[in-house]
Amino acid sequence: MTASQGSLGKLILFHKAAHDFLDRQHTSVAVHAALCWLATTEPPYSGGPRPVRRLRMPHELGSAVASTTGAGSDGRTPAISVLSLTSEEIVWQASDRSIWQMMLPEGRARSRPLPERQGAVSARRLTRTAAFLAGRKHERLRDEWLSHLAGENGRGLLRKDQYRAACGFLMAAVCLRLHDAAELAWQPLDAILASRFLSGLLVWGPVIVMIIAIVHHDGRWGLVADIADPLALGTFLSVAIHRGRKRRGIKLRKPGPRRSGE
Amino acid sequence: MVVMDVLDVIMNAPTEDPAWGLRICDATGHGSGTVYPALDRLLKAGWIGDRWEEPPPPDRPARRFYSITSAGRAGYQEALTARAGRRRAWTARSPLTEEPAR
Repeated sequence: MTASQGSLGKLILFHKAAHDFLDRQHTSVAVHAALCWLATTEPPYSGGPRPVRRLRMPHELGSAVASTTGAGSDGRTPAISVLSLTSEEIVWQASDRSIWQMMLPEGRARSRPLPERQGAVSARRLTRTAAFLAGRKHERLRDEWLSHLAGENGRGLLRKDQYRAACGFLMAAVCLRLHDAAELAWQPLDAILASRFLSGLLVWGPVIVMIIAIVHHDGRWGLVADIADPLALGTFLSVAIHRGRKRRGIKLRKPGPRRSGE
Repeated sequence: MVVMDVLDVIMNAPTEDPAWGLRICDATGHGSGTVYPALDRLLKAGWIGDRWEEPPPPDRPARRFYSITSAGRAGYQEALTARAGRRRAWTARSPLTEEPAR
């Protein structure tokens, strides 16, 4: 069996092992990583052991690869370091350009940290736009959202997840802005509901106007006949104000004791 | 309901590893577009409190951690009780739960 045939066989086995552990999309990425790894470590590509950076894999995947490729057993190929990483991290490690960073020799890999995802730029721009839309009142959301984009490991979410999150931030910013606008619109009504005098004016004003109109039009006996109308109006307004206070969470202060001098 | 899901995650988060935006989104299954406005509403209502990660890590932006307040805990329990009451009333009225007439 030639080296390339051996690599192919190992790759097929690796694919099966990866497929058991990861989903389809991530399997192809992991297989790509394995292919690169084999290419740099297997003779005749490398011609012997090379100081490649260790491929970091989750425990199950690492064990599967170690058992199928026999890495480290012959003393020529570098052993796979089995670390307890999440599947997300191995996928991050193995996706996009980070694969080439992964293949760099130890020294270069250390001196050059893993680059940020390219998609992060646009997602960040969207996030900054969202933070701008949210307004100064929610200034700190910008930092919070950027930390969201950085992900659990701090290196960034997958590109599609970043875009999805950034679109969500835009939606959240619009919601917050609308909410703020609604709060602003409620302010005059809140002022009326919070004031005993203004609330009383809102109830008694229309009632008194209606009474005057009835008296002016139908006379005093007309008021007796139509007394139900101002009563109904007053009741309706009182209930509306009571409900409004309850809904807005406004509680009136109890009137304090009157001063003896007054 | 988003608010209840968010509260659920915040309440069940361990003290040494508190809940923050991304984790809440992942745990609830809701998108960032619904979770952050809900967090804002809860903050305004005083049901949850927030603090920033201290000290801020050098390699990534600081996270904003959320924790439940005593008012939030009481409100959450009250909402759960109310929900259970509504559910009981609904199941009692439901024709599916009635015994068939003999």
